Amino acid sequence: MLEIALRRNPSQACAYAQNLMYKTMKKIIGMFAIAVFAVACKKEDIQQNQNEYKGEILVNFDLKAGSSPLALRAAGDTVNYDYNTSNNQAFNVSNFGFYVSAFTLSGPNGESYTQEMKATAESAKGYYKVEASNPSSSFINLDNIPEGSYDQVSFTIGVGEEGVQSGASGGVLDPANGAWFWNWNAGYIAMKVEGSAADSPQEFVDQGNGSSIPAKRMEFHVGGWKDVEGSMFVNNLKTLTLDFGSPILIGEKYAPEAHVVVDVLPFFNASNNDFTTSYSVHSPMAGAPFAATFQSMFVMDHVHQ
Amino acid sequence: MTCVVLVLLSCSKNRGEIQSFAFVKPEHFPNTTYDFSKNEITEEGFLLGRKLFYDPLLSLDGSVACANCHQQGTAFADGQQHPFSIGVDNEVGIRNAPMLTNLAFFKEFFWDGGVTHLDFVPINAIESEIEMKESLSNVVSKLNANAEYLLAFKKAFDVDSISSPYLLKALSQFTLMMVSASSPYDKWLNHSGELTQQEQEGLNLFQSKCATCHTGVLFTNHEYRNIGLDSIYPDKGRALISENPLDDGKFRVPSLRNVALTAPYMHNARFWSLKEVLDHYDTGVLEVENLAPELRNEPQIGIPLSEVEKEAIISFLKTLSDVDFIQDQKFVEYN
Ligand code: HEC
Ligand code: HEC
Repeated sequence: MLEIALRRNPSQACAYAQNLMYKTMKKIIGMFAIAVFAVACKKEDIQQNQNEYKGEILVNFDLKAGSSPLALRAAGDTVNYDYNTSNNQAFNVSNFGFYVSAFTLSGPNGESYTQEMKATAESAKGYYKVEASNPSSSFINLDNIPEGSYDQVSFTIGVGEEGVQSGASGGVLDPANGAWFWNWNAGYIAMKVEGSAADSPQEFVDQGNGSSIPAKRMEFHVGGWKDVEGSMFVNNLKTLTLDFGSPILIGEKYAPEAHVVVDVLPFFNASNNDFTTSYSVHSPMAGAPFAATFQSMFVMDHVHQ
Repeated sequence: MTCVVLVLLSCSKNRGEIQSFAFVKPEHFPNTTYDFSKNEITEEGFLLGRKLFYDPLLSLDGSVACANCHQQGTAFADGQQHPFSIGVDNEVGIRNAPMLTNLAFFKEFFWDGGVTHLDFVPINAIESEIEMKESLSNVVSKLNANAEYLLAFKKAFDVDSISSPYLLKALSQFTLMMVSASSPYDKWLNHSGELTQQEQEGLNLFQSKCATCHTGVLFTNHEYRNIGLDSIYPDKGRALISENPLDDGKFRVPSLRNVALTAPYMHNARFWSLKEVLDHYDTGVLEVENLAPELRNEPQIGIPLSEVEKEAIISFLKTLSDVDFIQDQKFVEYN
């Protein structure tokens, strides 16, 4: 296995044997199918079929705080503060995640791939919700990619106009199934960071019927997707483009994996957040300084060919 | 001749039956904004939407249905006042349930335009602390435990289990069909009815004094205006969505179709009669910073109107009441 190291040298070898095994199985089945096919088809047909071979890449979001894997604490934990901002304010995280959509790949020789996106009542193709509490949500497999070499991936943090204006949708966009949806200002929350901050002035609030807001709570919900000319509407969707470092091959014989580190610290550091005044963000405008940090949160760490 | 007419009648009757669950855009209406390709109206979907609309199962304690606040006799508006809270800044205001008509032609919903797709509107009602107090996921579980609903969703959408998008799309199918386009005014427009002299005068006054905002056959320019009702804003209106202080106190220009049936009036249910509304435009408009430019008139702010003019305008507004619509049997609870 060829490993292209970028920026950081991964200390531990990444073992995704399961994934590889699954892929190998798929390939064996695939080859078997082609063999059967070959017997049944004329030569020209096979030729054409082979040229149209499509490959896959696994994009893996490694959720971290600085250089270590992100630790999740129970909501309301005011004992264990795992992290400090650059302003030296202690905090912990109980919930972190984001929507990612609109994946594209491009290559040095004009290769290009745009993942299909389609939000319907049945499913939300091309929309993903990556959540720290759900480790398997960090693995996103892009398939049906034209064979070739690629050196860039891009994606959008959040759910854009097309997703919202498709109306009620299923899968990760279903509000009855955990979608992060703003009812009052219809749209999806692009990124959530929640937890406790030692300097948060939030006091305990009993909301009745069993729910409450814990003391020292901090809650940052970044959303907003509208572009209206001449208005103050804030569009917090960010499209990020990351380089693989050097081109990788995608095709029949390869099972590449791109590891993108998502570091939660720049969310507070690059925005120079001060928890004493900023601990509850729930509107597009208040979210804008945090959306501006997305670029520094997402870093292409390394790629396995 | 009689024979031909009979044939035509029976033809159109047949067609009427077949099409009674298809969405038909009135010829004199603009294009629809709802994307029907993502939710085609079918008889099964519409009937399911109707069943849901009248079913208090959608609320926490089983006491409130959509129809409690949206009643057909008042063009699906409601006479009651409903407190409203968005929770973000703990702001609480009073919002008046608007009528539900011609929703297929609107791009933004609610008095502040915060919801940009009709499908999402009911989530607000279901999950509102003050309205139905239920969670969408719990409603979905209740529906999945109900054999009648499982069958109805299967028929409408060919699904074996119920999920929220289908629930919301069924409700949209029902509310989209609420097209009001056969009032005496429409009949006059289409040369199949008359207006009295007073109604005509009212129409002319309306065209010159009101139609800049209450524009076209939908009687709205789909914009947001502050019409000088208040000088402080317990409910900031459009500014809650646009986050622009210049939008404080602006609300959606409401359609005036069926307006004679939908008292009380304004987002905060301030006025109980059309006469009070016109008195407001005449002498009650407050000179607030964000006041609509259309009302910033010289030498007197607002829209000066004589009592005779007010009566004429009111008689015109009454021609927008659509009896066919409020009596349309297809919207009546299970029959
Ligand atoms: C407790 C009363 C209440 C109930 C129950 C209720 N609504 Fe409403 N509805 C309102 C109010 C008040 C508004 C206006 C809210 C606003 O502007 O913020 C509204 C607005 C609407 C609108 C938008 C109309 C427009 O022109 O913008 C639609 C559509 C609607 N409701 C449908 C429904 C459906 C479907 C249900 C059942 C799931 C329902 N409502 C249940 C009170 C209610
Ligand atoms: C500047 C634009 C504007 C003009 C001009 C205007 N309106 Fe309005 N109208 C509105 C807005 C905005 C509302 C809702 C205000 C609110 O609730 O805060 C409204 C509300 C109403 C209502 C209440 C409807 C309901 O369902 O509650 C009536 C009736 C009405 N207008 C009639 C008229 C008449 C008649 C005229 C002409 C004399 C007129 N308007 C001129 C913008 C306008």
